[in-house]
Amino acid sequence: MKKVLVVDDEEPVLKAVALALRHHGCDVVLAPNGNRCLEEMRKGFAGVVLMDIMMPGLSGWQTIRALARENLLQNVLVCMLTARATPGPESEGMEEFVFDYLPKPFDFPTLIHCVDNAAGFLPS
Amino acid sequence: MKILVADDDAATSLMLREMLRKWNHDVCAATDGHEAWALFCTPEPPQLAIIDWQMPGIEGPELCRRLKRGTRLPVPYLILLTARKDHEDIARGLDAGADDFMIKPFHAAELRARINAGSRILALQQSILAANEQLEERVLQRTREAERLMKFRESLLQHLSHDLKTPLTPLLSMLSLLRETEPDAERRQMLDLALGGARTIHELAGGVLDLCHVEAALPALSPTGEKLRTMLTAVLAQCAAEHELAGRSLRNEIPDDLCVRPDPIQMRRALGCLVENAIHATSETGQITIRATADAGWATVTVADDGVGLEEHQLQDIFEPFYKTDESRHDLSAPGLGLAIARVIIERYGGWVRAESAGRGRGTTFRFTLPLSNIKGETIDEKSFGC
Repeated sequence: MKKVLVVDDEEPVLKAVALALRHHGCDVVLAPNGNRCLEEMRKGFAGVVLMDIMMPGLSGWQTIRALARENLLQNVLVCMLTARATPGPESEGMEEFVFDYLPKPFDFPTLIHCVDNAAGFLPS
Repeated sequence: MKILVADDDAATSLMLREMLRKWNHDVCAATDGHEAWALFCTPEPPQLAIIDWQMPGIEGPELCRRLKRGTRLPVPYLILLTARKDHEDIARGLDAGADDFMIKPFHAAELRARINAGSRILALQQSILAANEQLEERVLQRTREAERLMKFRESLLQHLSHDLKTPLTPLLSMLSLLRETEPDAERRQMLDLALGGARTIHELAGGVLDLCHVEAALPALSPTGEKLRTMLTAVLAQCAAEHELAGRSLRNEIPDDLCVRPDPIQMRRALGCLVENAIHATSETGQITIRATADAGWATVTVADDGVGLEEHQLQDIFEPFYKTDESRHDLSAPGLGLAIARVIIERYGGWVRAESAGRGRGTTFRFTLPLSNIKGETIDEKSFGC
């Protein structure tokens, strides 16, 4: 079963993505902020990570920086959920850890395509 | 009024001071040019001065010249006093900066009248200075207000791009999921309607943001010349992928050798807006042809369609944001921002764009210009760029 960790501070987004992905047959873990994401990763999450960029507290990029520092990006592929077209200066040096970008808002087929594509690159 | 009497002749000076005091003026005196100059350098300098032509130190005309050369405001009113009657002398004194002239021996009534004339001028100067100060204050206020609004707009944009797109994510993803799994045809239709509405909001938000971004962005130049034909080829391919072209024919007739310098992303955006507009304006069998010519360092590009056409009065308005012709008012998918975006981009790079049409039902041609460059990026007419 494909495992997906969704990190987003917006509850409706989190719920919608969870519903869509579970409908698609994925095993979904939700994290409402960067710290919860770090906790899940320390517990050994492996799979696809959908990461929002603009979040209060740790931003998406800061979360990735922290994950990279703890060497927790070995068994995951990260897709950034972006609301803006161009990445800000915050992302500098972090792009290499990102597998794909999924611009918000996205519809069901686009979401599924992104997750399936990333999951296809992970060892099953 | 504070008046200076600058005269080395004690008798004249005394007489003048007496008269002025009698007329209720605040009088001070100097017996040579340096002393007079020093009085003008005090925090409360005289507003008017009666200056003798011949004085030790600095002479009358030279004192006038120095006083009028200064940048301090208000400027004092200066009356030169002399026994010289020569027209040349009078002209020299006035040219040096004196405002008026009195010939010795003088008459009290005349002096009084001349001082009154001076005080009228000074009052006018004072009111101009006050009005000016008020204007400066107002300009400052408006500038602050404009800056505040610019900042507000910037943060509004930032929030729009994030906050408007965020609720659209559950809306679009859930609706499309429901649509995909709905077996009932009637319910699928309902969901299509809802989905269409959400997509329109998405497009509208994107269009407004695009327009604001191109307005805020500085015109960036590509390091080399970009072939117009190649850019258009990419634009037409994208249009074919994103729009239902049906039997429409899109022809790229731009010569291969025409190059321009604008940032290719922005240029493709402008071309895309014009082509999309033509697609919306034509029927399923419409013809859209894009041509270009070169003349005196400028490229003229035409995007011609055989679609609905425009009335005379619409030719200008069509470039306004959210403008919709009557025919397309029902068409929710076109927010009416494309032509506004295209115009901003084209004008940013020094060109102009206009619409031409022979009338309703007779097609429209959009014509725009851009400065040409060669393939290396050397502009043929550098001045044409605003950057």
